[in-house]
Amino acid sequence: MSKVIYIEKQCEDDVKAKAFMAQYPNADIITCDHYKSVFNPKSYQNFRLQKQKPAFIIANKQGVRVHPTPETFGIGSHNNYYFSHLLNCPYDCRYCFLQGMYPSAHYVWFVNYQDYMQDIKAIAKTNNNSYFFSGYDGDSLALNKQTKFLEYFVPFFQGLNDAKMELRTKSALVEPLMQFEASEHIVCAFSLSPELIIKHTEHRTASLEKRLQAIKKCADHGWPIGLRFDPVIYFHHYEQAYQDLIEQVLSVVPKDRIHSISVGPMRFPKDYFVTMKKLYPEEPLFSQYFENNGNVLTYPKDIEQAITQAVIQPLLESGISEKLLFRCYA
Amino acid sequence: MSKPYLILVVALSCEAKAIRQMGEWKRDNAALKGCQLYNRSDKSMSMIVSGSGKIASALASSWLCEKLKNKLVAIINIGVAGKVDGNIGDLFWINKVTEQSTKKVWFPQSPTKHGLATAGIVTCDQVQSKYPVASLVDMEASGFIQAATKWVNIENIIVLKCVSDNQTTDLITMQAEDIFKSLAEKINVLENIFDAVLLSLRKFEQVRVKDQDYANWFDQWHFTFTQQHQLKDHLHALKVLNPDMEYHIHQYKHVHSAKEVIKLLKDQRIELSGCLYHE
Repeated sequence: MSKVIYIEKQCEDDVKAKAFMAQYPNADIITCDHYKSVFNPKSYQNFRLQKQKPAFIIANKQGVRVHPTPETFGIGSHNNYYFSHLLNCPYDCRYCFLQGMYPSAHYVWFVNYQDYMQDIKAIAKTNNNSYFFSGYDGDSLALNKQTKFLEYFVPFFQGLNDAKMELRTKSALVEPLMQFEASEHIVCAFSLSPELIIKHTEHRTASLEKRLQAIKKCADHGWPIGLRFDPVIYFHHYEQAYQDLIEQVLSVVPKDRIHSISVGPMRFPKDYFVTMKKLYPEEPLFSQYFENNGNVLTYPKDIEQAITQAVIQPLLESGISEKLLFRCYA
Repeated sequence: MSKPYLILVVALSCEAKAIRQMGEWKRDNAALKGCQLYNRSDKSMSMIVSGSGKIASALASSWLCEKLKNKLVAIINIGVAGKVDGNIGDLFWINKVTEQSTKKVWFPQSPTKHGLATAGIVTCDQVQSKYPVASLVDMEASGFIQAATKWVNIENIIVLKCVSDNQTTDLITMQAEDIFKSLAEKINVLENIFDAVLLSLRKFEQVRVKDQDYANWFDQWHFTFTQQHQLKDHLHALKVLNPDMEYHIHQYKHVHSAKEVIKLLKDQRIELSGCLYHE
C-alpha cells in the first residue's frame, strides 16, 4: 500500500480511522473536504498506474448507502441489497469491472459504520428475509485488518432477526471469522476459478489451494458456505479445468454446509469494457470475441451456454441440488 | 517505446539559473513569447521560464506540453515559496495544491519515493504582505497543475517548492540572488529526484500493441465506417491473441467483399478465443 492517507476533515476523530493511521506513523496524511476531490477526477487519473500504489482515502458516506441489487443478482430471496464500506480492492483481477467504473484505484474507506447499520436495520425491518451483499465494490475480507469490517458487522447481522449478509472473497483471510460463533446470518462466499485462470487473471489473490483451505476452515467452524463460480471464462480445455475445480471444491466442503452456488459467465458492461481495454490494450482476455447484448458484452450464446454447463453439469452429477444453484446472466 | 522525458516549469530566471547548474543546457529560441526555453543536451528534459503568476505558468506549461505531446512525460513545477514558519532553503514535495481565489484543490501523487518532507501549498493571485495560511504560499502552482492535467496524468505531475521567505524575511529587499542560492543548494537532491522520476516513467509506461497498417485493407475492399472499426478491432485482437501470426490481405484475396472479410476475421477470433491460456 502507498504510504499516503487522505482523510476527510470530519473523519479525523473517528476511532477506527485513528487506529488505522496509528498503524502507519510514517504515512503522508493529507486532509480533504470530500473524498470525491481526490477520487473522482476522471480526465487526469490513470487507474492502471494508481493500482501499483493505491492510497487510502478515509471518508463518511453520505446519501444512499444501501442499494437494491440488479435483478439478475440474488441467491434465493426477493429482497436483495448491496452496501459498500470500501471502494476498490487490493487484488487486481483483470476482468474486474471496477477498473472500468472507477476513475481511481485508491481505496475509499467509509468509516461511518453506524449510519450503514441504521440504514440496514430500517430496510430489514420492512423487508422479510433480506440479503445484504457486502462484496460488490471490493473484496469483503482482503482489507479487514485495516477496516475491522467483520468485527463490527458480523455481530450486527447476528443481532438482526430476518436479514443475512453475504461476505464474498478471493482471499484466505478467514481467521477473524473464527472468533465468532457461526450462524446462518452470515454466508461466507468464495469466488472460485481454476488455478490457470487465477494465475493469468486474478493477480495478487489467494491461490486456489489456499482458498480451499479457507473454505474448509469456515465450513468446519459451521459457517454457511457460498460457492461463486463467477466469472466463468472460456479458455483452452475449460471443460476439464472446471470439472477438476468442482471436484476439488466438493472434496473440502460437505454438501450440507453449502448455502448456495452461483454460476455466471464472463460479462462486461459495455462502457466499462471500453475503459478497461484502453487500460490494458495487450490483455488477451479483452481480445476474446464478445457480442453486445443490450449494452452488456457477453460471449456468443452457444459459448455462454457451453461454459455454464461445464460448471453446472459436474455440480448436478455430484449430487448438488438444483435448488442451490443460481445462474447470473447479463 | 517513447523515451521518458521531463518538462520543468519555473517562474523566474534565477530559478532557471539554479536548475541550469545540473548538466548542460542550450537555449532554444523557439519559445513562447515572453518565455525562455532551454533543452538539456542529453535530451532528457526541457525547461521553460514562464514568468510570475498562475496564468503565465499555465500558459507556458500548456505550450510546452502541446509541443512535446508525443513524448512520454512527467511535468515538474519547481520554484520558491513562502512559509510563515519555514526554514529558508527547505525543499518540499507538494501533495495538495489549493487555489486561494476559487478554493479548487488538486492532489499531485508521487510516482516515486522521494524522501522529501511533504506539504500543501496555496496559490495566491498577488504577492502577499502577510502569510494567509500556515502552509506554503506561491503564485504559480495552481495554474501549472490545472494546465498540466490537460496533458498528463496526475501521477506524473510534480510540484517542488523551496522555502525562500518566512515571517522574518523582508520581501522587499529579497534578491534574485537569494532565490538562486536557495535552489542551487538543493541541486543534488533535485537531480536524484529527476533520475528517479525518469526511471519510474519507464516502469509505468503502458505496453502498446503495435497495430498494423490498415490502409491497404481499405484499398482492397470498400469498408463502411462501422466495418473499418470492426476490421481494426478484429486485427488488433488477433494480434494480441496470437502475437506470432501476421494477418495480411493476400491471405484473403479470394474474398469478394468487406463483409466477408469481417466474417472470416471474426470466426478466426472466436476460434482463438477458445485457445486462451493454451500452455
